[in-house]
Amino acid sequence: MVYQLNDVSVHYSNHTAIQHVNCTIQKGKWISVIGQTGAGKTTFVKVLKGLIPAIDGDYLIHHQPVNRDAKGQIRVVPEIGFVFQYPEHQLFETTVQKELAFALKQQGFSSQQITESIQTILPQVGLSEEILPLPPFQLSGGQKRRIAIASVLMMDPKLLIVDEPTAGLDPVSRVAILQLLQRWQQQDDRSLIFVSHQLEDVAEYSDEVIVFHAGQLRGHYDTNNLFLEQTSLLREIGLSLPEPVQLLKLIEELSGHKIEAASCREEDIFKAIIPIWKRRGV
Amino acid sequence: MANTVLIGQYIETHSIFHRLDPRTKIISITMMMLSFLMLETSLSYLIATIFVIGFLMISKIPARVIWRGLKPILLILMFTFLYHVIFTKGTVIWSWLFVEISEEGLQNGTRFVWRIILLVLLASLLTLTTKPLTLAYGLEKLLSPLSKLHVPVEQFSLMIVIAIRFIPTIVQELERILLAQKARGFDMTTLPLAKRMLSYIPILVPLLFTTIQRAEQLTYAIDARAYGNGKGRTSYKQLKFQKMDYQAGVIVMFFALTLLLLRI
Repeated sequence: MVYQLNDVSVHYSNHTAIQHVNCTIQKGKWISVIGQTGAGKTTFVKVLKGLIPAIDGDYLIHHQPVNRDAKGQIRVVPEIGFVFQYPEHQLFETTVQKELAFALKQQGFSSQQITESIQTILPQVGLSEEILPLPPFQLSGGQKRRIAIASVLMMDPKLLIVDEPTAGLDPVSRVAILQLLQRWQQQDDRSLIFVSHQLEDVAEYSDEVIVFHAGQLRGHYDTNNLFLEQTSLLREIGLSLPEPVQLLKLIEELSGHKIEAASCREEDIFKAIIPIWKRRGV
Repeated sequence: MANTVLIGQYIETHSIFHRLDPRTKIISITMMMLSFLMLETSLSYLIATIFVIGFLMISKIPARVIWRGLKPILLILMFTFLYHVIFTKGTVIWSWLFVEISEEGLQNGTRFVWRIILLVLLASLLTLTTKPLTLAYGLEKLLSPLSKLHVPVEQFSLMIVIAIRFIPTIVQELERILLAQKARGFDMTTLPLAKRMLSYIPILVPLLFTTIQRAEQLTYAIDARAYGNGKGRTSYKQLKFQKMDYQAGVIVMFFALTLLLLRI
Protein backbone atom coordinates (compact mmCIF):
# COMPACT_ATOMS: atom_id res chain seq x y z
CA MET A 1 0.00 0.00 0.00
CA VAL A 2 1.13 3.51 -0.79
CA TYR A 3 -0.54 6.45 0.93
CA GLN A 4 -0.24 9.76 -0.87
CA LEU A 5 -1.29 13.27 0.12
CA ASN A 6 -1.32 15.89 -2.63
CA ASP A 7 -1.45 19.55 -1.60
CA VAL A 8 -3.55 18.77 1.49
CA SER A 9 -4.65 21.51 3.88
CA VAL A 10 -6.86 21.26 6.96
CA HIS A 11 -8.70 24.26 8.30
CA TYR A 12 -10.36 24.34 11.71
CA SER A 13 -12.88 27.01 12.65
CA ASN A 14 -10.29 29.46 13.93
CA HIS A 15 -6.98 28.35 12.39
CA THR A 16 -5.24 26.32 9.70
CA ALA A 17 -3.72 23.15 11.18
CA ILE A 18 -1.69 22.00 8.16
CA GLN A 19 -1.25 23.57 4.75
CA HIS A 20 -0.15 22.38 1.30
CA VAL A 21 1.17 19.04 2.52
CA ASN A 22 2.62 16.72 -0.12
CA CYS A 23 3.77 13.36 1.12
CA THR A 24 4.07 9.69 0.14
CA ILE A 25 4.16 6.86 2.69
CA GLN A 26 5.77 3.71 1.27
CA LYS A 27 5.25 0.26 2.76
CA GLY A 28 7.78 -1.53 4.95
CA LYS A 29 9.16 1.57 6.66
CA TRP A 30 9.27 2.99 10.17
CA ILE A 31 8.50 6.65 9.55
CA SER A 32 8.70 9.13 12.41
CA VAL A 33 6.89 12.46 12.49
CA ILE A 34 8.58 15.20 14.50
CA GLY A 35 7.97 18.87 15.22
CA GLN A 36 7.15 21.18 18.06
CA THR A 37 3.79 21.09 19.87
CA GLY A 38 1.12 22.52 17.56
CA ALA A 39 3.23 21.96 14.44
CA GLY A 40 0.52 19.83 12.78
CA LYS A 41 1.79 16.29 13.47
CA THR A 42 -1.41 14.92 14.99
CA THR A 43 -3.60 16.53 12.32
CA PHE A 44 -1.37 14.99 9.63
CA VAL A 45 -1.78 11.46 11.02
CA LYS A 46 -5.50 11.97 11.60
CA VAL A 47 -5.84 12.85 7.90
CA LEU A 48 -4.08 9.60 6.98
CA LYS A 49 -6.51 7.57 9.11
CA GLY A 50 -9.50 9.41 7.63
CA LEU A 51 -10.53 10.93 10.96
CA ILE A 52 -10.81 14.41 9.47
CA PRO A 53 -13.77 14.20 7.11
CA ALA A 54 -13.19 17.44 5.20
CA ILE A 55 -9.79 18.29 3.72
CA ASP A 56 -8.56 20.45 0.86
CA GLY A 57 -6.43 18.55 -1.66
CA ASP A 58 -6.27 14.88 -2.64
CA TYR A 59 -5.69 11.76 -0.58
CA LEU A 60 -4.83 8.66 -2.61
CA ILE A 61 -4.46 5.12 -1.29
CA HIS A 62 -2.63 2.88 -3.72
CA HIS A 63 -3.21 5.51 -6.44
CA GLN A 64 -7.01 5.48 -5.88
CA PRO A 65 -8.91 8.37 -4.25
CA VAL A 66 -9.83 7.64 -0.64
CA ASN A 67 -13.40 6.43 0.06
CA ARG A 68 -15.97 9.13 0.68
CA ASP A 69 -19.58 8.93 1.88
CA ALA A 70 -22.65 10.29 0.10
CA LYS A 71 -21.96 13.77 1.49
CA GLY A 72 -18.43 13.68 0.04
CA GLN A 73 -16.81 13.32 3.47
CA ILE A 74 -13.79 11.07 3.87
CA ARG A 75 -14.47 7.71 5.52
CA VAL A 76 -12.23 6.17 8.17
CA VAL A 77 -9.52 4.03 6.50
CA PRO A 78 -10.02 0.55 8.01
CA GLU A 79 -6.61 -0.91 7.07
CA ILE A 80 -4.82 1.77 9.08
CA GLY A 81 -4.53 1.22 12.84
CA PHE A 82 -4.37 4.27 15.07
CA VAL A 83 -3.13 4.36 18.66
CA PHE A 84 -3.93 7.71 20.26
CA GLN A 85 -1.92 9.56 22.91
CA TYR A 86 -2.44 8.02 26.35
CA PRO A 87 -4.47 5.15 24.85
CA GLU A 88 -4.97 3.56 28.26
CA HIS A 89 -7.39 6.40 29.08
CA GLN A 90 -9.64 5.18 26.29
CA LEU A 91 -10.09 1.60 27.54
CA PHE A 92 -13.76 1.12 28.33
CA GLU A 93 -14.70 -2.56 28.37
CA THR A 94 -15.11 -4.50 31.61
CA THR A 95 -12.46 -7.16 30.85
CA VAL A 96 -9.24 -7.28 28.82
CA GLN A 97 -10.79 -10.01 26.65
CA LYS A 98 -13.76 -7.77 25.69
CA GLU A 99 -11.44 -4.82 25.12
CA LEU A 100 -9.31 -6.81 22.68
CA ALA A 101 -12.36 -8.26 20.95
CA PHE A 102 -14.12 -4.90 20.49
CA ALA A 103 -12.90 -3.97 16.98
CA LEU A 104 -13.30 -7.45 15.48
CA LYS A 105 -16.77 -7.79 17.01
CA GLN A 106 -17.75 -4.55 15.25
CA GLN A 107 -16.54 -6.06 11.99
CA GLY A 108 -18.69 -9.18 12.50
CA PHE A 109 -15.94 -11.75 13.17
CA SER A 110 -16.96 -15.04 14.85
CA SER A 111 -16.05 -15.79 18.49
CA GLN A 112 -13.59 -18.47 17.35
CA GLN A 113 -11.81 -16.08 14.96
CA ILE A 114 -11.62 -13.47 17.72
CA THR A 115 -10.17 -15.99 20.22
CA GLU A 116 -7.54 -17.09 17.68
CA SER A 117 -6.54 -13.50 17.00
CA ILE A 118 -6.24 -12.78 20.73
CA GLN A 119 -3.98 -15.83 21.12
CA THR A 120 -1.77 -14.54 18.27
CA ILE A 121 -1.58 -10.94 19.47
CA LEU A 122 -1.00 -11.41 23.21
CA PRO A 123 2.53 -12.94 22.91
CA GLN A 124 3.44 -10.21 20.38
CA VAL A 125 2.81 -7.55 23.01
CA GLY A 126 4.44 -9.61 25.77
CA LEU A 127 1.32 -10.42 27.77
CA SER A 128 -0.08 -13.74 28.96
CA GLU A 129 -3.62 -15.10 28.70
CA GLU A 130 -4.01 -14.91 32.47
CA ILE A 131 -4.91 -11.24 32.28
CA LEU A 132 -7.84 -11.79 29.87
CA PRO A 133 -10.58 -11.99 32.54
CA LEU A 134 -9.20 -9.01 34.50
CA PRO A 135 -10.66 -5.49 34.28
CA PRO A 136 -8.18 -3.29 32.32
CA PHE A 137 -8.24 -0.68 35.09
CA GLN A 138 -6.53 -3.08 37.52
CA LEU A 139 -3.39 -3.35 35.35
CA SER A 140 -0.22 -1.28 35.56
CA GLY A 141 0.34 1.75 33.29
CA GLY A 142 2.68 -0.16 30.95
CA GLN A 143 0.32 -3.16 30.76
CA LYS A 144 -2.66 -0.93 30.02
CA ARG A 145 -0.77 0.68 27.18
CA ARG A 146 0.16 -2.74 25.75
CA ILE A 147 -3.50 -3.75 25.92
CA ALA A 148 -4.48 -0.55 24.10
CA ILE A 149 -1.88 -1.21 21.38
CA ALA A 150 -2.88 -4.89 21.17
CA SER A 151 -6.54 -3.91 20.73
CA VAL A 152 -5.56 -1.93 17.63
CA LEU A 153 -3.20 -4.66 16.33
CA MET A 154 -6.15 -7.08 16.53
CA MET A 155 -7.46 -5.37 13.39
CA ASP A 156 -4.30 -6.54 11.56
CA PRO A 157 -3.56 -3.10 10.09
CA LYS A 158 -1.31 -2.64 7.07
CA LEU A 159 -0.12 0.65 8.48
CA LEU A 160 -0.01 1.47 12.17
CA ILE A 161 0.01 5.05 13.43
CA VAL A 162 1.16 5.59 17.01
CA ASP A 163 0.87 9.06 18.50
CA GLU A 164 3.48 9.47 21.26
CA PRO A 165 3.16 5.88 22.45
CA THR A 166 5.83 6.18 25.14
CA ALA A 167 4.69 9.46 26.72
CA GLY A 168 4.59 9.23 30.51
CA LEU A 169 6.14 5.74 30.72
CA ASP A 170 9.15 4.68 32.79
CA PRO A 171 12.37 3.82 30.81
CA VAL A 172 11.86 0.04 30.99
CA SER A 173 8.23 0.19 29.80
CA ARG A 174 9.28 2.70 27.11
CA VAL A 175 11.89 0.36 25.62
CA ALA A 176 9.46 -2.57 25.87
CA ILE A 177 6.80 -0.67 23.89
CA LEU A 178 9.32 0.48 21.25
CA GLN A 179 10.67 -3.03 20.82
CA LEU A 180 7.21 -4.53 20.44
CA LEU A 181 6.41 -1.92 17.80
CA GLN A 182 9.69 -2.71 16.00
CA ARG A 183 8.99 -6.45 16.03
CA TRP A 184 5.51 -5.83 14.64
CA GLN A 185 6.78 -3.48 11.91
CA GLN A 186 9.54 -5.80 10.75
CA GLN A 187 7.08 -8.66 10.19
CA ASP A 188 5.57 -8.92 6.68
CA ASP A 189 6.98 -5.62 5.46
CA ARG A 190 4.53 -3.53 7.51
CA SER A 191 4.62 0.25 7.87
CA LEU A 192 4.59 2.27 11.05
CA ILE A 193 4.15 5.99 11.58
CA PHE A 194 5.58 7.11 14.90
CA VAL A 195 4.75 10.58 16.22
CA SER A 196 7.20 11.56 18.94
CA HIS A 197 9.07 14.31 20.74
CA GLN A 198 11.76 11.84 21.85
CA LEU A 199 14.38 12.39 19.18
CA GLU A 200 16.64 9.70 20.70
CA ASP A 201 13.91 7.13 19.98
CA VAL A 202 13.34 8.58 16.52
CA ALA A 203 17.08 8.30 15.69
CA GLU A 204 17.23 4.77 17.07
CA TYR A 205 14.28 3.17 15.34
CA SER A 206 13.27 5.17 12.23
CA ASP A 207 14.05 4.62 8.56
CA GLU A 208 12.65 7.99 7.55
CA VAL A 209 11.60 11.19 9.33
CA ILE A 210 8.91 13.71 8.37
CA VAL A 211 9.51 17.17 9.83
CA PHE A 212 6.61 19.51 10.58
CA HIS A 213 6.85 23.15 11.54
CA ALA A 214 4.01 25.69 11.92
CA GLY A 215 1.57 23.55 9.94
CA GLN A 216 3.96 22.95 7.06
CA LEU A 217 5.80 19.81 6.07
CA ARG A 218 9.41 20.99 6.04
CA GLY A 219 10.89 17.81 4.65
CA HIS A 220 10.80 14.03 4.41
CA TYR A 221 14.31 12.74 5.15
CA ASP A 222 16.33 9.60 5.52
CA THR A 223 16.93 9.42 9.31
CA ASN A 224 20.75 9.39 9.10
CA ASN A 225 20.75 12.26 6.64
CA LEU A 226 18.49 14.38 8.87
CA PHE A 227 20.34 13.91 12.15
CA LEU A 228 23.91 13.83 10.81
CA GLU A 229 23.73 16.33 7.93
CA GLN A 230 20.64 18.58 8.34
CA THR A 231 21.43 19.84 11.83
CA SER A 232 20.83 23.48 10.91
CA LEU A 233 17.21 22.71 9.91
CA LEU A 234 16.51 21.13 13.29
CA ARG A 235 18.01 24.12 15.11
CA GLU A 236 16.02 26.51 12.91
CA ILE A 237 12.71 24.93 13.90
CA GLY A 238 13.66 24.75 17.57
CA LEU A 239 14.41 21.04 17.90
CA SER A 240 17.55 19.77 19.57
CA LEU A 241 19.64 16.89 18.25
CA PRO A 242 19.44 13.43 19.84
CA GLU A 243 21.94 13.22 22.73
CA PRO A 244 24.38 10.73 21.09
CA VAL A 245 24.49 12.97 17.98
CA GLN A 246 25.11 16.01 20.20
CA LEU A 247 28.09 14.19 21.72
CA LEU A 248 29.41 13.30 18.26
CA LYS A 249 29.11 16.90 17.09
CA LEU A 250 30.84 18.17 20.25
CA ILE A 251 33.81 15.84 19.76
CA GLU A 252 33.98 16.82 16.07
CA GLU A 253 34.08 20.48 17.12
CA LEU A 254 36.76 19.93 19.77
CA SER A 255 38.95 17.72 17.58
CA GLY A 256 38.42 19.73 14.40
CA HIS A 257 37.89 16.52 12.42
CA LYS A 258 34.75 15.06 10.91
CA ILE A 259 33.88 11.69 12.45
CA GLU A 260 32.24 9.16 10.15
CA ALA A 261 29.48 7.22 11.95
CA ALA A 262 27.68 4.40 10.12
CA SER A 263 24.32 5.75 11.29
CA CYS A 264 22.80 8.05 13.88
CA ARG A 265 21.94 5.11 16.12
CA GLU A 266 23.53 5.17 19.57
CA GLU A 267 25.57 2.01 19.01
CA ASP A 268 27.07 3.24 15.71
CA ILE A 269 27.91 6.62 17.17
CA PHE A 270 29.76 5.07 20.11
CA LYS A 271 31.58 2.73 17.70
CA ALA A 272 32.82 5.82 15.85
CA ILE A 273 33.72 7.79 18.98
CA ILE A 274 35.44 5.13 21.13
CA PRO A 275 38.55 4.67 18.86
CA ILE A 276 39.14 8.46 19.03
CA TRP A 277 38.93 8.41 22.83
CA LYS A 278 41.29 5.47 22.95
CA ARG A 279 43.83 7.21 20.66
CA ARG A 280 43.77 10.21 23.02
CA GLY A 281 44.27 7.90 25.99
CA VAL A 282 40.95 8.75 27.68
CA MET B 1 -17.59 18.89 20.04
CA ALA B 2 -15.77 20.58 22.92
CA ASN B 3 -16.20 23.93 21.21
CA THR B 4 -19.94 23.40 20.98
CA VAL B 5 -20.56 23.47 24.74
CA LEU B 6 -21.28 27.05 25.69
CA ILE B 7 -21.36 26.79 29.49
CA GLY B 8 -17.85 26.88 30.94
CA GLN B 9 -16.14 28.57 28.01
CA TYR B 10 -14.63 32.04 28.20
CA ILE B 11 -14.29 34.15 25.04
CA GLU B 12 -12.44 37.47 25.18
CA THR B 13 -14.13 40.12 23.01
CA HIS B 14 -13.37 43.24 25.10
CA SER B 15 -17.08 44.12 25.36
CA ILE B 16 -18.83 46.15 28.09
CA PHE B 17 -20.06 42.85 29.51
CA HIS B 18 -16.47 41.68 29.99
CA ARG B 19 -15.68 44.84 31.95
CA LEU B 20 -18.64 44.61 34.33
CA ASP B 21 -18.00 43.57 37.92
CA PRO B 22 -18.61 39.80 38.27
CA ARG B 23 -21.01 40.46 41.15
CA THR B 24 -23.14 42.68 38.89
CA LYS B 25 -23.24 39.92 36.31
CA ILE B 26 -24.11 37.19 38.82
CA ILE B 27 -26.90 39.22 40.46
CA SER B 28 -28.30 40.56 37.17
CA ILE B 29 -28.31 37.23 35.41
CA THR B 30 -29.85 35.46 38.42
CA MET B 31 -32.57 38.13 38.57
CA MET B 32 -33.24 37.82 34.88
CA MET B 33 -33.38 34.05 35.06
CA LEU B 34 -35.89 34.24 37.91
CA SER B 35 -37.98 36.71 35.94
CA PHE B 36 -37.93 34.29 32.99
CA LEU B 37 -39.70 31.77 35.18
CA MET B 38 -42.64 34.20 35.28
CA LEU B 39 -42.96 34.52 31.49
CA GLU B 40 -46.52 33.92 30.42
CA THR B 41 -47.88 36.13 27.65
CA SER B 42 -46.50 36.28 24.12
CA LEU B 43 -45.55 39.90 24.73
CA SER B 44 -43.42 38.96 27.75
CA TYR B 45 -41.65 36.28 25.69
CA LEU B 46 -41.00 38.83 22.95
CA ILE B 47 -39.55 41.35 25.40
CA ALA B 48 -37.36 38.70 27.04
CA THR B 49 -36.08 37.57 23.63
CA ILE B 50 -35.28 41.14 22.59
CA PHE B 51 -33.35 41.67 25.83
CA VAL B 52 -31.37 38.43 25.48
CA ILE B 53 -30.53 39.15 21.84
CA GLY B 54 -29.55 42.67 22.84
CA PHE B 55 -27.25 41.37 25.61
CA LEU B 56 -25.66 38.85 23.24
CA MET B 57 -25.02 41.59 20.70
CA ILE B 58 -23.45 43.84 23.35
CA SER B 59 -21.25 40.93 24.50
CA LYS B 60 -19.90 40.64 20.91
CA ILE B 61 -19.88 36.83 21.19
CA PRO B 62 -19.95 35.56 17.57
CA ALA B 63 -23.38 34.27 16.48
CA ARG B 64 -21.84 31.02 15.16
CA VAL B 65 -20.48 30.25 18.66
CA ILE B 66 -23.95 30.71 20.14
CA TRP B 67 -25.62 28.63 17.45
CA ARG B 68 -23.04 25.83 17.87
CA GLY B 69 -23.66 25.94 21.62
CA LEU B 70 -27.39 25.40 21.21
CA LYS B 71 -26.97 22.29 19.07
CA PRO B 72 -26.14 19.88 21.94
CA ILE B 73 -29.39 20.77 23.74
CA LEU B 74 -31.57 20.21 20.66
CA LEU B 75 -32.42 16.72 21.90
CA ILE B 76 -33.57 18.03 25.30
CA LEU B 77 -35.61 20.72 23.54
CA MET B 78 -37.20 18.13 21.28
CA PHE B 79 -38.19 15.90 24.22
CA THR B 80 -39.58 18.87 26.16
CA PHE B 81 -41.65 19.94 23.17
CA LEU B 82 -43.01 16.46 22.50
CA TYR B 83 -43.80 15.88 26.18
CA HIS B 84 -45.96 19.01 26.36
CA VAL B 85 -47.55 18.45 22.96
CA ILE B 86 -48.62 14.91 23.82
CA PHE B 87 -49.57 15.22 27.49
CA THR B 88 -51.33 18.60 27.63
CA LYS B 89 -55.10 18.25 27.45
CA GLY B 90 -57.20 20.82 25.58
CA THR B 91 -58.85 21.56 22.24
CA VAL B 92 -57.83 18.65 20.01
CA ILE B 93 -56.63 19.74 16.59
CA TRP B 94 -55.18 16.41 15.38
CA SER B 95 -55.43 12.83 16.62
CA TRP B 96 -54.13 9.44 15.59
CA LEU B 97 -54.89 6.22 17.53
CA PHE B 98 -54.42 7.23 21.18
CA VAL B 99 -52.22 10.28 20.45
CA GLU B 100 -54.00 13.60 20.63
CA ILE B 101 -52.44 16.96 19.87
CA SER B 102 -54.13 19.97 21.35
CA GLU B 103 -53.78 23.65 20.65
CA GLU B 104 -52.77 24.23 24.28
CA GLY B 105 -50.14 21.47 24.01
CA LEU B 106 -48.51 23.17 21.03
CA GLN B 107 -48.54 26.50 22.86
CA ASN B 108 -47.10 25.00 26.06
CA GLY B 109 -44.41 23.08 24.16
CA THR B 110 -43.31 26.18 22.27
CA ARG B 111 -43.26 28.26 25.47
CA PHE B 112 -41.18 25.80 27.48
CA VAL B 113 -38.68 25.27 24.66
CA TRP B 114 -38.37 29.01 24.19
CA ARG B 115 -37.86 29.51 27.92
CA ILE B 116 -35.11 26.86 28.08
CA ILE B 117 -33.29 28.47 25.13
CA LEU B 118 -33.43 31.88 26.83
CA LEU B 119 -32.21 30.44 30.16
CA VAL B 120 -29.30 28.57 28.53
CA LEU B 121 -28.25 31.66 26.59
CA LEU B 122 -28.34 33.79 29.73
CA ALA B 123 -26.40 31.30 31.85
CA SER B 124 -23.81 30.95 29.08
CA LEU B 125 -23.43 34.71 28.88
CA LEU B 126 -22.06 34.71 32.43
CA THR B 127 -19.27 32.19 31.77
CA LEU B 128 -18.57 33.39 28.22
CA THR B 129 -17.79 36.90 29.47
CA THR B 130 -16.21 36.18 32.88
CA LYS B 131 -12.88 34.45 33.58
CA PRO B 132 -13.30 31.46 35.95
CA LEU B 133 -11.12 32.99 38.67
CA THR B 134 -12.92 36.35 38.48
CA LEU B 135 -16.20 34.49 38.71
CA ALA B 136 -14.96 32.61 41.79
CA TYR B 137 -13.88 35.85 43.42
CA GLY B 138 -17.22 37.52 42.65
CA LEU B 139 -19.15 34.57 44.03
CA GLU B 140 -16.98 34.53 47.13
CA LYS B 141 -17.58 38.22 47.77
CA LEU B 142 -21.33 37.83 47.32
CA LEU B 143 -21.51 34.92 49.70
CA SER B 144 -19.05 36.36 52.24
CA PRO B 145 -21.75 37.28 54.82
CA LEU B 146 -22.45 33.56 55.15
CA SER B 147 -18.92 32.94 56.42
CA LYS B 148 -20.07 34.40 59.76
CA LEU B 149 -22.38 31.40 60.00
CA HIS B 150 -19.32 29.13 59.46
CA VAL B 151 -20.28 28.37 55.86
CA PRO B 152 -17.05 27.56 53.93
CA VAL B 153 -17.69 30.26 51.32
CA GLU B 154 -14.21 30.22 49.70
CA GLN B 155 -14.24 26.48 49.13
CA PHE B 156 -17.82 26.58 47.89
CA SER B 157 -17.14 29.27 45.29
CA LEU B 158 -13.98 27.50 44.10
CA MET B 159 -15.92 24.25 43.84
CA ILE B 160 -18.65 25.85 41.71
CA VAL B 161 -16.14 27.48 39.38
CA ILE B 162 -14.11 24.29 38.94
CA ALA B 163 -17.31 22.39 38.15
CA ILE B 164 -18.22 24.94 35.44
CA ARG B 165 -14.66 25.08 34.12
CA PHE B 166 -14.52 21.28 33.81
CA ILE B 167 -17.55 20.94 31.52
CA PRO B 168 -15.66 21.66 28.24
CA THR B 169 -12.71 19.55 29.45
CA ILE B 170 -14.93 16.54 30.07
CA VAL B 171 -16.59 17.00 26.68
CA GLN B 172 -13.10 17.12 25.11
CA GLU B 173 -12.24 13.85 26.85
CA LEU B 174 -15.48 12.30 25.59
CA GLU B 175 -14.57 13.43 22.09
CA ARG B 176 -11.19 11.68 22.36
CA ILE B 177 -12.80 8.41 23.45
CA LEU B 178 -15.35 8.58 20.62
CA LEU B 179 -12.56 9.22 18.11
CA ALA B 180 -10.58 6.25 19.46
CA GLN B 181 -13.67 4.06 19.04
CA LYS B 182 -14.19 5.38 15.52
CA ALA B 183 -10.59 4.43 14.73
CA ARG B 184 -11.43 0.91 15.90
CA GLY B 185 -14.33 0.64 13.46
CA PHE B 186 -17.19 1.80 15.68
CA ASP B 187 -18.80 4.98 14.46
CA MET B 188 -21.55 6.00 16.85
CA THR B 189 -22.85 8.76 14.59
CA THR B 190 -24.11 6.19 12.09
CA LEU B 191 -26.35 4.47 14.69
CA PRO B 192 -30.06 5.14 15.18
CA LEU B 193 -30.83 7.51 18.07
CA ALA B 194 -31.92 4.86 20.63
CA LYS B 195 -28.84 2.69 20.02
CA ARG B 196 -26.60 5.73 20.10
CA MET B 197 -27.92 6.67 23.55
CA LEU B 198 -27.23 3.15 24.84
CA SER B 199 -23.71 3.21 23.35
CA TYR B 200 -22.82 6.11 25.61
CA ILE B 201 -23.15 3.93 28.72
CA PRO B 202 -19.83 1.98 28.40
CA ILE B 203 -18.03 5.23 27.51
CA LEU B 204 -18.98 6.67 30.89
CA VAL B 205 -16.54 4.25 32.59
CA PRO B 206 -13.27 5.66 31.12
CA LEU B 207 -14.75 9.15 31.22
CA LEU B 208 -15.42 8.89 34.94
CA PHE B 209 -12.01 7.33 35.46
CA THR B 210 -10.11 10.14 33.72
CA THR B 211 -12.28 12.80 35.36
CA ILE B 212 -11.47 11.44 38.83
CA GLN B 213 -7.79 11.29 37.85
CA ARG B 214 -7.88 14.92 36.69
CA ALA B 215 -9.71 15.98 39.84
CA GLU B 216 -7.02 14.29 41.95
CA GLN B 217 -4.24 16.04 39.99
CA LEU B 218 -6.02 19.35 40.41
CA THR B 219 -6.25 18.79 44.16
CA TYR B 220 -2.49 18.23 44.34
CA ALA B 221 -1.86 21.29 42.14
CA ILE B 222 -4.03 23.46 44.40
CA ASP B 223 -2.21 22.12 47.48
CA ALA B 224 1.18 22.59 45.82
CA ARG B 225 0.36 26.25 45.25
CA ALA B 226 -0.29 26.63 48.99
CA TYR B 227 -3.97 27.37 48.60
CA GLY B 228 -4.69 25.78 51.97
CA ASN B 229 -8.36 25.79 52.91
CA GLY B 230 -8.88 29.12 51.16
CA LYS B 231 -9.78 30.96 54.36
CA GLY B 232 -8.64 34.56 54.83
CA ARG B 233 -7.05 34.81 51.40
CA THR B 234 -6.60 38.29 50.00
CA SER B 235 -6.68 39.32 46.37
CA TYR B 236 -4.30 41.49 44.36
CA LYS B 237 -7.20 42.68 42.22
CA GLN B 238 -9.90 44.27 44.36
CA LEU B 239 -13.47 44.31 43.08
CA LYS B 240 -15.12 47.73 43.00
CA PHE B 241 -18.48 48.68 41.53
CA GLN B 242 -18.15 51.24 38.71
CA LYS B 243 -20.71 53.61 37.20
CA MET B 244 -21.58 51.11 34.49
CA ASP B 245 -22.35 48.44 37.11
CA TYR B 246 -25.04 50.64 38.61
CA GLN B 247 -26.37 51.43 35.13
CA ALA B 248 -26.53 47.74 34.30
CA GLY B 249 -28.31 47.08 37.60
CA VAL B 250 -30.98 49.70 36.82
CA ILE B 251 -31.57 48.29 33.32
CA VAL B 252 -31.97 44.73 34.64
CA MET B 253 -34.26 45.91 37.44
CA PHE B 254 -36.41 47.74 34.88
CA PHE B 255 -36.51 44.64 32.74
CA ALA B 256 -37.49 42.33 35.63
CA LEU B 257 -40.22 44.72 36.79
CA THR B 258 -41.59 44.97 33.25
CA LEU B 259 -41.93 41.20 33.09
CA LEU B 260 -43.55 41.15 36.54
CA LEU B 261 -46.06 43.84 35.50
CA LEU B 262 -46.90 41.94 32.32
CA ARG B 263 -47.74 38.91 34.45
CA ILE B 264 -50.05 40.96 36.71
